[in-house]
Amino acid sequence: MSGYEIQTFFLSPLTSGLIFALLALGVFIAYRVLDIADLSVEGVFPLVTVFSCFLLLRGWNPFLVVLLMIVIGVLAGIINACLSLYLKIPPLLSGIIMMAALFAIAIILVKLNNGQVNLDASTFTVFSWFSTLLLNWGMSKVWVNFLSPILITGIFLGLSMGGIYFFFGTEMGLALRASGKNKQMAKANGINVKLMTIIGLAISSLLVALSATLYAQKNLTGSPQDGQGMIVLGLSTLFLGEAIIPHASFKMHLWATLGGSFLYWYIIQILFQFVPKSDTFLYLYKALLLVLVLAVPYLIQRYKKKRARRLVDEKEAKEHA
Amino acid sequence: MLECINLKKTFHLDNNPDNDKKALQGVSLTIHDNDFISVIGGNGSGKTTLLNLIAGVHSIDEGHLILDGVDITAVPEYQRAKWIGRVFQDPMQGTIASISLFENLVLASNRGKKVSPFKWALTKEKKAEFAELLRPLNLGLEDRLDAKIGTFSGGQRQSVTLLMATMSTPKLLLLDEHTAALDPKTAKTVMELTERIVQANHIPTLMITHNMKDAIRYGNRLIMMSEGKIIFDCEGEAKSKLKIEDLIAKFSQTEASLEPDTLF
Repeated sequence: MSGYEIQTFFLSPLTSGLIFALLALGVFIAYRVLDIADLSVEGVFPLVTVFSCFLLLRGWNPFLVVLLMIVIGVLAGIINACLSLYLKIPPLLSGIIMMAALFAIAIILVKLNNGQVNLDASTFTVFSWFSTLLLNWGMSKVWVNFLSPILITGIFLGLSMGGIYFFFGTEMGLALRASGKNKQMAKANGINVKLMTIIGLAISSLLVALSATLYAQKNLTGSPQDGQGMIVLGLSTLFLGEAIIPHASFKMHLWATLGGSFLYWYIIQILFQFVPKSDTFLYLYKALLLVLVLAVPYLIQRYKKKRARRLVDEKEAKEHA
Repeated sequence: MLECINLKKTFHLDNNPDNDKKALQGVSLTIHDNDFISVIGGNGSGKTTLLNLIAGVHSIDEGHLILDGVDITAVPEYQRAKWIGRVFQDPMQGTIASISLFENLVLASNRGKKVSPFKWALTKEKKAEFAELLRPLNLGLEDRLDAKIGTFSGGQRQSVTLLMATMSTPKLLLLDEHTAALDPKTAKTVMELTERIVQANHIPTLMITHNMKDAIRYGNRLIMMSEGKIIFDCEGEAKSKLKIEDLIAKFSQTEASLEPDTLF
């Protein structure tokens, strides 16, 4: 590998890891904090990538786009929550309904764009804005190319993680966590569980939307296919982090999710050394990775238990002999 | 003072009225401010339904609940929590296992108070305050504020739930067989703690129990339920003179076909 390739090998998973850590945090809030298997991620993500492109193509300010996408994420989360809370649709199904509906809107937007899903390299995005800024500050072009995406996504992620950490430490955040863990206890302590569920899903979708618009602005693309495998990705990231990083406290759980995201993208990067990026089997490999992430910790634990058992048995047998 | 006026509740198993379960068939009960009432009755007698209707878990079919002159019949469960503290039978239900004792207490301390939602919840001042609250329990919990409740024993969890239910003094305390899942020694400790807290804070209390000894030993008033109705209500001196045999006799009168042993 040349020097350039080595740098790409190590740096490009960092950017992906940062962008998709936002998505994983969204999945974390739905899946772990609220205990809801929310599949709407697969609809919110492509809608936001497509919509971001749609607006950037029309010359919108990229920061305004980010802001609008956050609003869309929040709205999607609220609608999703209301479907299950007030119309009594099981959360799994309401997620699927959202997924189908938002996917359909994404397709309509692409049609309005005459099928265009890619943006010009010269499009004004959050990333190009930041690169120009760094160049103006006197950073060399080579460094800007490598560092700019990492820094700007890092800023977005840092703000989000700080915000999440602060929010879940406030009175309302604590009430939200209680609603997900023990509804009976929450109600007995005067917590409005329905409202907390709505707020929780709104925050979850907000993070997914932020992740999606950054993805679109970074890769200058936005197609309805972008959502494919996003729930698998989010869960893999979450479980990978939990498998390798102790996450007893809420703060550590956030760090574990971030760590899981980096690990996931380095694993994918290594995978790309053996299979081409266009490989049709890629999603299959990713699904396989999720199975491994879920199964391996369990199998290790089972093996440890069995071995401990065997050791005790052998010891007893010796004592008897 | 809570007035229950002619409460009725029917559970519909399916669309067939023959399968309806008439859980409460017109219960009127006034809980005075100095009352500590033990409620006894066989399985399916409606004790738990009565408690759940008061707490707001189920909607009320007919009748009214008046708390200190305010009709709370239509107030949802989580809003009633402002005035009503609860301890459940299952020690797992009253607390959250996967967060710390401190965080559980913070949640409970907000019950019935207006708190600004975006204020940092886990402050040092609160921690010190809770440590002082825990010290009189003599369970050593004041040093374990950062431990997860999941690591606590059933008795410790029930004691914590009891503390949580009463830390901002409620207008009514509902205890749903809160010692039934504990071993006899722990159950006794928790019962004594209950009495101590209730008396110190003058909290009107409604306690369901399957233990007739406890029903007689604790509280100033005893009511017995059967088939969704109150069939016996006595207080004061008459109550303190009650014996287990009297209660069994009462039961045999109303549910002659059932052996007393199967009732409890």
